[in-house]
Amino acid sequence: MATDKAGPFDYSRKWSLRLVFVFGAIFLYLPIIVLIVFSFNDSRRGGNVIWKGFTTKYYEKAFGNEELMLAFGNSLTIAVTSTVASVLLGTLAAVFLWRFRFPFKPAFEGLIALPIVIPEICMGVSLAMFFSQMGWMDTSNRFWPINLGNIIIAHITFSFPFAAMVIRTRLASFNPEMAEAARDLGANEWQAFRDILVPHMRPGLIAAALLSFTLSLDDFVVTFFTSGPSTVTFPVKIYSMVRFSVTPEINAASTVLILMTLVLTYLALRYQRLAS
Amino acid sequence: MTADAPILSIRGVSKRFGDVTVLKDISLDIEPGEIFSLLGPSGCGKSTLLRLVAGFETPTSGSIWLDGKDMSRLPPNRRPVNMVFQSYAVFPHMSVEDNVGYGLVADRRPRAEIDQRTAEALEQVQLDAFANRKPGELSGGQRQRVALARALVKRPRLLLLDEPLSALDAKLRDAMRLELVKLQESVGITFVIVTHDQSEAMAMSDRIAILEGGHLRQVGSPAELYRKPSDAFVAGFIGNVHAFDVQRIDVDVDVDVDGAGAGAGAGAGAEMVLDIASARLGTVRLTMDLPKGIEPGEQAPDSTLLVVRPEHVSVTLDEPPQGSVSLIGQLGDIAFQGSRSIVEVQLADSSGLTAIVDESIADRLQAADAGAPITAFWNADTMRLLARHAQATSTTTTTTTTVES
Repeated sequence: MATDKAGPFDYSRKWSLRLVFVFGAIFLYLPIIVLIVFSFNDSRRGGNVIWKGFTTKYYEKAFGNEELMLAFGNSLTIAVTSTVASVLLGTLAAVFLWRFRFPFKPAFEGLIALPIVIPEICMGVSLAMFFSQMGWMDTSNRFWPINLGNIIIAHITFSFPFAAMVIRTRLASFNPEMAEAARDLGANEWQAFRDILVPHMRPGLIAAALLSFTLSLDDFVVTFFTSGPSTVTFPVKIYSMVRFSVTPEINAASTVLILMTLVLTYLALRYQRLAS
Repeated sequence: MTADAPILSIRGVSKRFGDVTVLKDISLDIEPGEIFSLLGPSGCGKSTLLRLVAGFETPTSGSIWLDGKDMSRLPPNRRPVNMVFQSYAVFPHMSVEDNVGYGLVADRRPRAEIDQRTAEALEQVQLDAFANRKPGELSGGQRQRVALARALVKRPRLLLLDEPLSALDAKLRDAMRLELVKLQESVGITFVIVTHDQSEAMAMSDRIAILEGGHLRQVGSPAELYRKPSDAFVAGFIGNVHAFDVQRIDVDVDVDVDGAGAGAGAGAGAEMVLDIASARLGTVRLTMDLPKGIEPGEQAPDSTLLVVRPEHVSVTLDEPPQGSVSLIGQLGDIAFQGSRSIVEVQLADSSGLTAIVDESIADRLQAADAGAPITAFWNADTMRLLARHAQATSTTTTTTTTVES
């Protein structure tokens, strides 16, 4: 049995593919594990390379860091707001593209997908120029969360095309006779949309929301260009802290972020499974 | 028999999608309580006609009347008409019970009434044990029952069924065919069925409308369509026919048909003796009324046909009986089918002719060699003279017959 040749899909029996697996694990997961482990390192100020013992004090420190917490709050606010807006806009765009035929439709579809392919740096620069032309760049005299408006608009701009694509893909598998059956049984257009089309789209809506949320939460480039001096998000704040010094406090904050994303993804998947 | 007012009246309906005309000036009446089939090959417009009645399309011209009210412009949710879709379109995220109750919820019926009527409808289609299942756990046949119950629970004036048997396997199809007819008898709702399967339509329907290329070809009972097809298309679609091109038709004025002075005074529609010249059959003398759209004299090539059904054709190794129409050929394959056999006759011009014969003839043919000279023959009055395409105006004739009888 062991003597026959490994087939093309017998991944576990080929040493070359085992090696790929090992490298994947090392470069993908090891850094994250190290990051989490060293968030508990009882090191001194100025370096976090050598293990000096277990402590949770950097978590206390991170949670006590007002600037960091403010940045964290900003990031969450931006992510939630832009996710809601992206999913709404994405749904409208997807349903529109799926339901109707109109002149220049391919061109319109291309324009919607443009933010997906355009380099992020170009988008950041163009949005920064646009906001400063409009005089929106100086956010110092605006109150929270209005001062996050620039960033929220920017995040919606790059995440709603992803939402639209995901929902559109889901819509492609919809049998139009379903909506007709609802209409036939006495539902008006709105009821048919709510009772039949939305439940069909639900997995797509959840996937779109997750995608938009994570895209927004960890965005650095576009945020860096569009944030004013007084509006700092979590990734931007971490960046500035790393430039100063790498302390376990950064590790602790990042670990919390990782944990949040994991819990959120788990909940979303679980909900999706319950729904289907 | 009293002449009931039609439940559904389609009046001069045409439908165009862009440059494509899908239905051309369709007029027909459907009587209350009948099973009415729309039959035709794919692309004939039968599904579009059903969708016009359901309200998913609006006619380009003409109107659709239900119970004497014009409903051409009503949206589907405001028509007392329900449909069983070809894909069944059962809502996958709802339980069987919720699927069936959906139409009543949309109508804002009280909860108690919804529960009671849903339970009744589920019992009617023998799905009461499956009320809490999800459609994903049901077989295709069971899903179709859900779709049926969901439509019937609304007590519609018309139940529209789009190819109701096409997705079922052969065994289930026969059972469901019977069950649909029984169900229709017990609920008394008028059924309108779209199908491309002529045997299905013949077996289930009280009346059938035959459509082809967006035209209504003929409306009638299965027997009428079989015995008196209005044109060659209908004759070929309902069963099989052998068709022979007609070159010339002469009205024989010397022969008196009904004792009165036939000939000069008789117009189209009255019985007369016709001498019909066909290149392959010679001259055939038939006593019949000249069908609409056929004029005596020279016939344009391929416009007028003499047809005979295989079940009227017999074969013999000897001389054919006096006075029959006959063609000489060679014996081809014999397909044994129990009490009857299908015999193939190869004619001199390399075309074929099939005859359906009984056991005694089949036994004698078995003894002969393949390729033996053989004569196919039939009685002249089993033949029909038909135009290739008649302009369908049969609705009016059907209505008159109903009133008279």
